[in-house]
Amino acid sequence: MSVPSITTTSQYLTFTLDEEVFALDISKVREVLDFISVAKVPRTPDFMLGVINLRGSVVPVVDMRLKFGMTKTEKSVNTCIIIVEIEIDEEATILGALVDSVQEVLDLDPEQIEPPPRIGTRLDTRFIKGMGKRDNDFIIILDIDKIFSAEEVAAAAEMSEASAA
Amino acid sequence: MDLEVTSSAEKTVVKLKEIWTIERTGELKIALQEALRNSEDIVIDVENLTSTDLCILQLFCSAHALSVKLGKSFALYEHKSEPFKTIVRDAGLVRTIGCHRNPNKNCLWTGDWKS
Amino acid sequence: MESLKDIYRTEAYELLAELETSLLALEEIPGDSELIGRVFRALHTIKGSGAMAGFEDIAAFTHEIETVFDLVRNKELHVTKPLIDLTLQAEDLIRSMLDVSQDSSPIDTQRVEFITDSLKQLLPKTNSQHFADAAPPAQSEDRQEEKTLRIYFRPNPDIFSRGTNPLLLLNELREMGECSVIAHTEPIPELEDLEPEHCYLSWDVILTTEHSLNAIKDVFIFVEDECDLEIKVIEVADGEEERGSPKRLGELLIERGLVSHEDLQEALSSQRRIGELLVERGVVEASMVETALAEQRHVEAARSRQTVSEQTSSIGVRAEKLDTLVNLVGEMVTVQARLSQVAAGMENPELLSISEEVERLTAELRDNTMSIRMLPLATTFSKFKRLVRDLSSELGKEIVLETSGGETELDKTVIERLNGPLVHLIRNCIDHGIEAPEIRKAAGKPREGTVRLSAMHSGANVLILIEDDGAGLNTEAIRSKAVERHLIPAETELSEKEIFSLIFAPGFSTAGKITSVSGRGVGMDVVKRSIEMLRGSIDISSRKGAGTLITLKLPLTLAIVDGLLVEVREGRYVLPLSTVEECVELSREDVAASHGRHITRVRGEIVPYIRLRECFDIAGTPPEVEQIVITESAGGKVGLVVDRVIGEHQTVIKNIGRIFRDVDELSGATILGDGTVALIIDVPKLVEGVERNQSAIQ
Repeated sequence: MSVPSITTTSQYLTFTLDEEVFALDISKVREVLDFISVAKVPRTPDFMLGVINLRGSVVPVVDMRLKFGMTKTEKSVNTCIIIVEIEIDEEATILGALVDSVQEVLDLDPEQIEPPPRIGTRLDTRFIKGMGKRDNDFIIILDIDKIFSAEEVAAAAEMSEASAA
Repeated sequence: MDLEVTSSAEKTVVKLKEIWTIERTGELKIALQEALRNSEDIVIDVENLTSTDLCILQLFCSAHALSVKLGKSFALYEHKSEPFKTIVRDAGLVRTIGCHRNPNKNCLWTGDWKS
Repeated sequence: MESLKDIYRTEAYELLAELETSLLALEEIPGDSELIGRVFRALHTIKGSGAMAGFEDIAAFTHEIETVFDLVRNKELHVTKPLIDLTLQAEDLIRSMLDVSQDSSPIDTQRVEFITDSLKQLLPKTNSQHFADAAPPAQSEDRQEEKTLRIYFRPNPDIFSRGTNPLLLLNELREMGECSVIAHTEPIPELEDLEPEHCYLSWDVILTTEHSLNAIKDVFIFVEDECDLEIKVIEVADGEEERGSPKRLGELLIERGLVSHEDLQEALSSQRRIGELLVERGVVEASMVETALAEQRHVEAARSRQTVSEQTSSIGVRAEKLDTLVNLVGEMVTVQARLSQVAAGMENPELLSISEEVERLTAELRDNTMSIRMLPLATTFSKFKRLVRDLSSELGKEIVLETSGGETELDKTVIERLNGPLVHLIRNCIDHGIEAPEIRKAAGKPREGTVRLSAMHSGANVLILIEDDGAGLNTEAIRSKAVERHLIPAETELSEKEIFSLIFAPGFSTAGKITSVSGRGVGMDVVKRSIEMLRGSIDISSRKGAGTLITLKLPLTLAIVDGLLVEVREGRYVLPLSTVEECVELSREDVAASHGRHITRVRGEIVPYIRLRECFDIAGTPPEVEQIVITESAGGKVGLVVDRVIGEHQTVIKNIGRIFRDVDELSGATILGDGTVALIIDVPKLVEGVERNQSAIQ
């Protein structure tokens, strides 16, 4: 089992969560916003930070640190919201990902990417598309569609049910 | 009398009552000619006219044309006269635009002829 | 047997008299549906009782006339003078048939045949099959497809002295269809030269008719040799590219050789109304322009009739495109609100005036955009005609559905979601409301019951009224049923209004027996819920024996909500105004006084409340004095405790997306003037959820 989706050189946006570097396929990224005020939606899991006004559209924002089991994001001047376009049940959805900081846009050849390790990361390997190599560092390339797949959203909904009870 | 003419140099009011039809067009023509000669402002009061016909309407139209030529004013006063309004409508005389012969574009038949 | 016939005879004479009065009144006001109804009912009763009393011949004959008036009643046939004439003749004939049967001499079958045949000729072609067994429809050839004609009629100058009155001919044409008559007055000479008895007038008549050319020519048959007559057919559908708009006035005038191209170009270049200009320049006579204008009107009208089946929609636009537009406008509204705020703070008069202009334009843009989604209710209403007819015959009831206000417009989505509840309510009227004909008669009411469906505007809402003249609600029955179902304790004292509102309680049904019409387990509670989902409300009033009136109040559109903006900590929430009753304060003392129970007293009434803070798990300490927003929904009065009430707020509703679709308590979000997001609370669902949780805990 390899990574069939990564065959040509692609661009990735790198960002940090708790000093660890992650990357997203740039084609998924629509824009990066500075942190703006978020309205909490009641009865949703903690990682669902709430909703923001993105030029007239109401867009949900996820605290990526909480989503990945880290501590809550502390807001700083570097805190950003990455607006991504993902597919949930074959339906395009706009979503914001709250991250500690955004770093750079990176070109990676397929040979620079290795399949995700079975163990040794803090994350569920299902969410990892591969490991990118930059100099001596590894960058975790996320599969953003999987992170917000139908099951994940359903799980979030279940949590909200549970918290309501 | 079914014809009443009140005349001054300024204004002549020709009041027609009851029935005025083809038989009396000649008589009315003379009355109108006279009015147009004597006054600047001619009003034909048809409010109490109960019945009339196309001949009379033609006559009004012609008299109006003459008044325009002479630079005088010639107006109908029909007010509540339902029979008169009806015949004007039935004859298809109602206009939205006045004649070109008339520099002020006013016309006897423009305006509201609805009941 | 003899006495039954006598009774019938007396009744029939009375009905005939009533028929005559109604017919004559109908001649004055041909469209009056009440009069048409009266004629129909008279005929119907003459027929019905006639058959019972053994007057088969009268019954059979009356049936034919009734059939015609059924078409009239359904607006498939217009009331015309010939129809009134024939029906009056028929009335006389029925009278003589009644007389004849008294001295048992034979019936005038020839007249019966004559009248039935003549009636058949009045019917539109498709309906002649109603008389399938009768003679072949030989006479129907006179009626053809609708067309528009231009008739030029110039009588000879001596026509007046021959005693012919052209007006009568013109009026005859008027009876043949939609008709515009324009007299040409230009040939009238000046007063001196006027021969008083000459006819100088000529006419153009634009006629839209179903009659044949021959029938039109027949009008002029007696003056054939005394006039010039030209009849031309005006093409209505001039090929595809021109279907959109009728020929322009200029084109029409050129086409008829009245104006040259140069004249027209010159007139066009001066940017004024063409007709006026051309007349003023003396290029064309006023009456000619008048004729062309009339022609334009007729063609336009004929076209709009052609497209009547296509209903109101003229351009099909994908719903998503509309949604995008609505979203953009929503954004615009938000940005504009911010602009106004900023401009107000800057004290720059120039900026302020621009901002005001933008505000005005935005409001117009918003209203226009919303109106695109609006559709008239007429189509929905007309569907119910059939429903009423079918159901009433199934139940052996005689019911007419009267509708009004079908032109009232509502958001497309609202209309779609309204269908179900309306069907249910109308079914209820037919099944439970309107009594059987015999019972109605015994109660001194007309046999035929009426269900009235009407719609009207009322501010930012549309009211839909469903009214019947049936038995009304039986408060005692409702009460005892509610007690039986443990909906209320037996000793409760309730006002009439409170009793009526019980029928909206889940699981309530007053029908004595289950019929195919209603009582299928779908109750009024579901209707109420559906209406509330549309952010509307339902109200019921009734008088025993006189009928029931149900009022639905619906918002004009779903895209905008009038709400009350409230705050809990930093979070802002919108409560739809349709659910809000009033706001009261809740102090710490009040809380202490109720010993931990979540109840308060509003003018003596005990109202439970929900703390939004607790419900939504919001941290922090509430302020010293909180506010309770008293809401009214399916679950009754419930207070919602918030930190602060900010004020009324009209907002564009935004979808909060599928990620939050399981958060039932929210119906959407909205963007406030400062750019932040406020959540719109679905009050009935919130209350329901809290109740469910509490009962689970208990």
